[in-house]
Amino acid sequence: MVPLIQTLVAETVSALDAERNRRFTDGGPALPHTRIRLLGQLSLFADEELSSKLTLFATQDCDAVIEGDWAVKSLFREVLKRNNLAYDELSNEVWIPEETEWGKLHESPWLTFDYSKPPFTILSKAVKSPEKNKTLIRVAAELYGPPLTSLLKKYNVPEQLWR
Amino acid sequence: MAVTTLLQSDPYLQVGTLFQELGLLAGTSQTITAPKRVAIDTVLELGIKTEPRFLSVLPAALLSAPDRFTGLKNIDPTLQEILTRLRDGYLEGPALGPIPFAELRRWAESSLSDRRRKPVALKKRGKSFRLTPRALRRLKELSEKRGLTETEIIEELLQRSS
Repeated sequence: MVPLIQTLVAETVSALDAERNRRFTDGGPALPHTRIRLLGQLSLFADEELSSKLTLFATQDCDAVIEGDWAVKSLFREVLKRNNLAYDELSNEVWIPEETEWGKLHESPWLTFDYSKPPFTILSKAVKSPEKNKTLIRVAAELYGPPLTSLLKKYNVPEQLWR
Repeated sequence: MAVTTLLQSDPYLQVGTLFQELGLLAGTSQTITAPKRVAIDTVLELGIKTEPRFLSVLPAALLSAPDRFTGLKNIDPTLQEILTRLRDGYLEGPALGPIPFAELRRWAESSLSDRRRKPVALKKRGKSFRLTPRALRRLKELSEKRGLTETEIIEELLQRSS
């Protein structure tokens, strides 16, 4: 995992812990379980294997689906800002293929933080934004082979994009 | 040639790490040192063929850190027009390859982690006015009352009128 993702996870865990403690001390309602699912380019950064093979770059936008208390989104936004990133408010519009498998970044009774595994992130990009990601799609098709290319075929991604 | 080498070539890594150093992109590598300068044409070529994110942040980088690029004198006319329109605060303008002007503007106006440099929207430019003594007195009064500079008072009034 690249240092940026390690920092994001550590700071999110720490911010949520602080919020849980604050609520406990103030006698406020307990923070319900939170699930953060990292999507898009930064989810590729989270994958140990891929990020060790390729050098990837991403803009400051972070796509993530956050299920949990309203306060969590605000805390997560702050964590991103401290790391020169910004939460993409259109994250809920990112297409997540039904086949998506999730990699674990952090698991505790109050927080599940995971990321879309690379073949499924690439599939989403190939279906929704093929031109912008054409090199990445070709590279990923070569790296992952049939587990990815069969999905690209299933979703009618033109072969010239990945052959 | 294996297609994976496209994302490992020297120019790709150099351009990406330069943008990373300027705080415009995040990157998976922490070990590569950014070059002092890169050629604009190299960025354009890589942006079109390999990594369009380079095009997204190129105008922002050229406006905030022109000293990190070569080829400024023979700049592509479309890119020149984009830079002029961004510098002058226009809301619309031409696209850079597949990247629409609105996205180029967004990165040009976003804050930079390299705090020695300012995004284009925050860069101040000089303009002189000849005001009547009454207008000058009023501007001074408003500035003292609100605890803002005279420039901030004028900017706030302009903001409200738009």
